[in-house]
Amino acid sequence: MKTTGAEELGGYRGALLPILLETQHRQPGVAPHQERIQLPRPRMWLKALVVAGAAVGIAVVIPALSNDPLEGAIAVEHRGKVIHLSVQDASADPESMTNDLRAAGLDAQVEVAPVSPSLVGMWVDFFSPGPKPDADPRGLDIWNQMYPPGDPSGIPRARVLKIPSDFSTAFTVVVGRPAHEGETWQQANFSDVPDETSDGGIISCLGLEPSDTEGVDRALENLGYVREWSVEDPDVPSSERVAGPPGGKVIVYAELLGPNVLLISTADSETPAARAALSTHARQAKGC
Amino acid sequence: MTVGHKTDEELLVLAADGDPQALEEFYRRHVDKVERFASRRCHRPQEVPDLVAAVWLEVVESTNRFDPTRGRAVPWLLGTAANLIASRSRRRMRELQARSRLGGRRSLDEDDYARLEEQMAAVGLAAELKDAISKLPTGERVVVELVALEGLTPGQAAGALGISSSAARMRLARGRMKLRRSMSTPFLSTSPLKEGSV
Repeated sequence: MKTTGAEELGGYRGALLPILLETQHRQPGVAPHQERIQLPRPRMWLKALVVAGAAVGIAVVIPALSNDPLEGAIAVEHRGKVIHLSVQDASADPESMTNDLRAAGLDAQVEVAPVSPSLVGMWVDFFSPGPKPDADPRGLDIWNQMYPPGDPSGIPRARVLKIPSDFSTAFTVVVGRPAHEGETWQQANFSDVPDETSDGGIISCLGLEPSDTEGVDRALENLGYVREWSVEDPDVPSSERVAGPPGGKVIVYAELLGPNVLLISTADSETPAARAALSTHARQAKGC
Repeated sequence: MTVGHKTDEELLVLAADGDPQALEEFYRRHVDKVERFASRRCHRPQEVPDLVAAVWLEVVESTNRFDPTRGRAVPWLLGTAANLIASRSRRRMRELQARSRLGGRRSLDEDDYARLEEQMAAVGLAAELKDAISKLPTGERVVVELVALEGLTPGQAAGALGISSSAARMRLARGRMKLRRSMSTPFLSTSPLKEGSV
């Protein structure tokens, strides 16, 4: 492989170049320009027809392709030399999930983690021993499945995990499960955690006054929310948690940490953030 | 036309199609940038090669995700790097992969060491800022880093991170506000944080 003038770079940067070229060479061939062509949107009825047809097709074809579909907490489908794993019951205990995978011949351990709603039932992490001499290098490919192409969010998630049937290295996978009341999410999708002071958010919907922190605290408590309060203090680089609603402050931001756990950030009323929050509140339509 | 005359965006598209010369040219043009990016996020020069290699491996395997109609190549490159660093497990896996592939060749020679020490000293004046940035919530930190340290506009940072422009501006404003409160040095008054970045 040509590495024109890698020597000129010198040091570790020169050594890295041929490795990158080799990595590029090993990439599966794709035609990104073609993939990016936007197809015209079909009419809705046509779309519905296609979706319905596809659903029927999938229903017919998948069982035909699967040699021995196993339906437990994890659906296991053998498709040629690849095992497709998808979560059927995200609330099941991890031991039964582990058993499902072991029954499929995989040296696997399943763990579960509370996650925000859109990640429930997804595979949200994968661990294998890494590039040890005896480890299967395809572990990296499996782990890469957690990062959907074209998604720059960096939030790992996969609906279906595809494992080579001869993958013999021990591994651990993490399934996103629903969080319990009062629990915080270990991983949250950005789309699940908007600013709750903005239009449509809890604080905004209830028409609560950002400067009445105690009133907000009472209202949220009555609705069953666990409240975590913080103050954006000028003397520390980030917010400082406080035990209860701080008096004389203004709510500048609120974000769900779990299904009913709300982090509420406040700031001094003279700060730009507080003034912006009050100004936004004045402009917001009350209620939802 | 040789690859030397191609734009960064053309190089990335060609690299995604498997053109090694395009990848090499892109690497040569921007390896310094990625090294500086990594230097700001490492405490010792010895840590830099693993992170640089991890970022480039991520880039090489992600070139097919680059869409020139959605943004420029350098913001995409830095956004890819920032996202890698924001995800601990992904960074860990990539660094393991890089260590395995580079082996002993990742050790620094004298030139490497001198250059990295110089880079780290150059950003040393911002050590307080670096510390303050590291304490920001991830969403705010990544945007602040791209705008304040890497010189992207908020719009470019938004494109690089795949978030809306308004979300990027909101995170940036919040991050800046926290940093201003935590910093007493004049650094902020002359940094891009202050100058029209929002």
